[in-house]
Amino acid sequence: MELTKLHNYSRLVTRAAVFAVIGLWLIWIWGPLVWDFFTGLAVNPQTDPPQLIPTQFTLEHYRNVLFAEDMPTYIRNSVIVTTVSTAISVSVGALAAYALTRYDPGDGQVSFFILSMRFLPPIAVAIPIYMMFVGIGWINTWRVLILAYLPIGIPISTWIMLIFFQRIPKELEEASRIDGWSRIQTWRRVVLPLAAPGISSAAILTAILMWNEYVLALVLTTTKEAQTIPIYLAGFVTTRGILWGRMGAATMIAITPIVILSFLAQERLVAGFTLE
Amino acid sequence: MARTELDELRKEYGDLVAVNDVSLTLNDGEFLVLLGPSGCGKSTTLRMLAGLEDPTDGEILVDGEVVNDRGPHRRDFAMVFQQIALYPHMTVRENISSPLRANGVDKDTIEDRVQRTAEMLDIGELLDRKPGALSGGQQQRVAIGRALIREPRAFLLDEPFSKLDQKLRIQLQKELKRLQEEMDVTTVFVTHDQEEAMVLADRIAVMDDGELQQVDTPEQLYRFPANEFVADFIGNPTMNFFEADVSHGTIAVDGVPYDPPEINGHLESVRRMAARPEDITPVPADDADGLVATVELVEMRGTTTYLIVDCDGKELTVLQPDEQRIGEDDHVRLEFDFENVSFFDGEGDLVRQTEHDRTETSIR
Amino acid sequence: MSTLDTSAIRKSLHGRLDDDRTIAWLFVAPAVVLLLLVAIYPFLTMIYNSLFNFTQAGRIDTFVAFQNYTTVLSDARFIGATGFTVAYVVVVVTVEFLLGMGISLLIYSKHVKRRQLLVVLSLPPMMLSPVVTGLTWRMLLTPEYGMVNHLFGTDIAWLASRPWSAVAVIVADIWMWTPLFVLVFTATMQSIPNVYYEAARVDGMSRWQQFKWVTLPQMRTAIAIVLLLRVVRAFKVFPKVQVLTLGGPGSYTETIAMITYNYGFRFFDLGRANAAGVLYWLLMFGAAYLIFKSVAEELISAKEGY
Repeated sequence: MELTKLHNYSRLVTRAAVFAVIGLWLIWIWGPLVWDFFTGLAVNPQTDPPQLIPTQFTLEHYRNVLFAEDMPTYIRNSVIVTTVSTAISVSVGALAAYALTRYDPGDGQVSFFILSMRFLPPIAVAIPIYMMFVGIGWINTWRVLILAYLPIGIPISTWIMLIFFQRIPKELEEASRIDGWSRIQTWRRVVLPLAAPGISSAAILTAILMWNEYVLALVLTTTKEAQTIPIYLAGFVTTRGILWGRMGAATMIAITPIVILSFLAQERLVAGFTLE
Repeated sequence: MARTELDELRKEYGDLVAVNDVSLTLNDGEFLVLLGPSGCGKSTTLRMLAGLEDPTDGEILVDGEVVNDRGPHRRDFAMVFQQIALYPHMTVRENISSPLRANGVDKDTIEDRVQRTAEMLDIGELLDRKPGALSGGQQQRVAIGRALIREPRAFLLDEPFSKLDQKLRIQLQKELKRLQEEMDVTTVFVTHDQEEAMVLADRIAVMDDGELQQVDTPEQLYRFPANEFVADFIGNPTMNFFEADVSHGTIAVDGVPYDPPEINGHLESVRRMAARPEDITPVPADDADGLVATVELVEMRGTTTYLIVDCDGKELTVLQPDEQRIGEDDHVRLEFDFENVSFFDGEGDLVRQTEHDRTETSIR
Repeated sequence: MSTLDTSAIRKSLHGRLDDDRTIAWLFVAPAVVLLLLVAIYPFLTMIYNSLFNFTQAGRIDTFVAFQNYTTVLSDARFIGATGFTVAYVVVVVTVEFLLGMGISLLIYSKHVKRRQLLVVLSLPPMMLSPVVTGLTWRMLLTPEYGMVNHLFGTDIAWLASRPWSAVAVIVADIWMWTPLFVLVFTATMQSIPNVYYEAARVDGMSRWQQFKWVTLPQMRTAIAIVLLLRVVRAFKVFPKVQVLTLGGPGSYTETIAMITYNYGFRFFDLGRANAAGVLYWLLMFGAAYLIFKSVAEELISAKEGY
């Protein structure tokens, strides 16, 4: 009797400790984000002592970054570059991943080659690309960024789709062929519908990587005609260092698409990131 | 009528010969089972027939015409896979009708045929469900339905029941056999389960190590295995093997002389003998000559009882005679029914007892 | 030679046109060609260019063999950046690994019910741009107005003093990337069949023994992958530091990526930038290779097994 009580008591203590630590963890994760959020809404974000929740709220900072500054231009650039480069990466990657799972030409060499791109430091790609294209006037254009992002996009999307294609049994395609459908019909009727979740998570992860990319954009673009959001945000450090309200607002705007995308892909993100 | 032939069909993967010059003719309307241990090349043979693998060499002929170059969608074979392979994103109806839609059959005919097929297989209620919501047995019925709905040149099945439990397997075997007879469609069925092969087949083609060992009816295969591999592979419990030497009217079985009632044919070349459990009779040990063994285990199997006996270190399985009760640790003397045992030469090939073997058997 | 077999010719021709391997090569070709063009070719030109001097305007000038390399390698700033980057990688990956493992074990302890939700709630930082992470922590760590000094009652110039600027950079990285470890580890823990734990309990194993003999071995592959990914990625660190400390104070927190960039676009010395880029790549490749050899190789063999 006494023993059970004691046991229950120690169980309760363990439980409380576990929840306390998990609680601290969530505060650690979310605290900075909440801080960002309120900074963008505070009339006066820089107070001494600092306040997490501001006393007066305003949408002024959002209006400023969207209308007084040129954030929409940077957003446009980011959207175009991200969309086009993701589209190319995913289509090229889907073809490669399919061939690699079904026939593996080159016996592992090709997949190793594609994945080894991850070992290239972006700055070590950016400098030679800069030198390649500076002569023909492509610097500070969307197309140079779109091209430069392919070594990021193709490996990640190929890798993710490899995992998803591997899960489609090849017997399904064989059954379809036996049923009398041609190769192309089989691809459209069986492979694509079943690979759709994989293709969309590859697209989402690739898009997130490109949306966030900084180093290549820093080297290859020079004005707001082609610069992307991370470059705009980084500008707060040097030129507008004290404009915390705008910084918070711009940060929130920049991460909104990512939050939406990763929410859409929630469960599949796990599969994509774990790369089993 | 559709006559399908395999002519010296060969498949190599690098240095590995998976299928070694297999020649085989499928008669119209027959149920042929390709039987062999895993890795013997039976599935590869079937897949080459279906067009899913390209042969390294040899030809596949349909009505005398070589079809090697035709893709699987242009061979008009239906196939059921071991992995079932139903399209998970389509309903049962869409799955079953897939072959008809591929061939551009009109809507009304499709609906009609779907209904008839569903009725035949008792899956009428499942038509609007997705495969994921079905049990293993139901899924396999749908897969069979997808093959049955067309009137294919031949019906190819690759170990379709191997993942189902025993009871379901036996039930589906019966149904398949009945449907096959009703529809009279040529069928090739791959399995590693010799009992399944015996139940289903008109003819069985036994393969080992990429080579065809024997093609024959189940009865002939059981009674006259063409070589030691087939003898060992067919039948459960398996055959008992002995060293054998025939001279001057006596047979030395594992060195112990026996005097058979009559010996026919030229058995000088015999080196080994194989006897089924029912061809060995244990009698209580007495002073007479013969192999002596000790009963180690009495194994009840429903109506029959087998004795596992130890004969000078060799384990044998013999049938418990009806009239006698023999218990564990009893000493027994073994008598053979020499008319029914099989003899093999030094190469492991069957040596016939001419007088007795009237029926012709053939390899391929 | 009249016996030349026409069917053999037909067969070989047919074989070539309809060979699955040929089609497969056509499928992988676009990816391979694009990567050769936008990654491998530039990379090779970088190696080539590193052997030349450049004019201030960025034009190729004179062949100097390995002079750029000797200049870079004798530059205390480059050596310092290399040292800082390596230390940074070791520290952040170690801490993230341990912290991530701890949190994952808590989330997957029997006390917790809504595990998936907790995992999802743990993820946001790793989705952010490093620039956003940098800005966020810059605000939090600002001496007067920042929350950190206020909360802990300290008065530290986090972004402009030694060793605190290094600590700041490391903390920001840990905040951003520990979630990746949590994501991967929890997903793996979830996939370990419960029977293993039941068997372990029947065998009388303690919690610690269960972790050591059941959980860890089952997670080996995931650990290898995530370590490899993280080390490679941590070596690329640039924007986070750029935004937080600008590499300061002085060049105290400058990373290899930053100095490489600075050579090219601040000091306008492309020869040195190219040489630094090659050295940078060698270092990263070497580190990845070391990890691959020591922990990740078994992962590949395991994959071939199935």
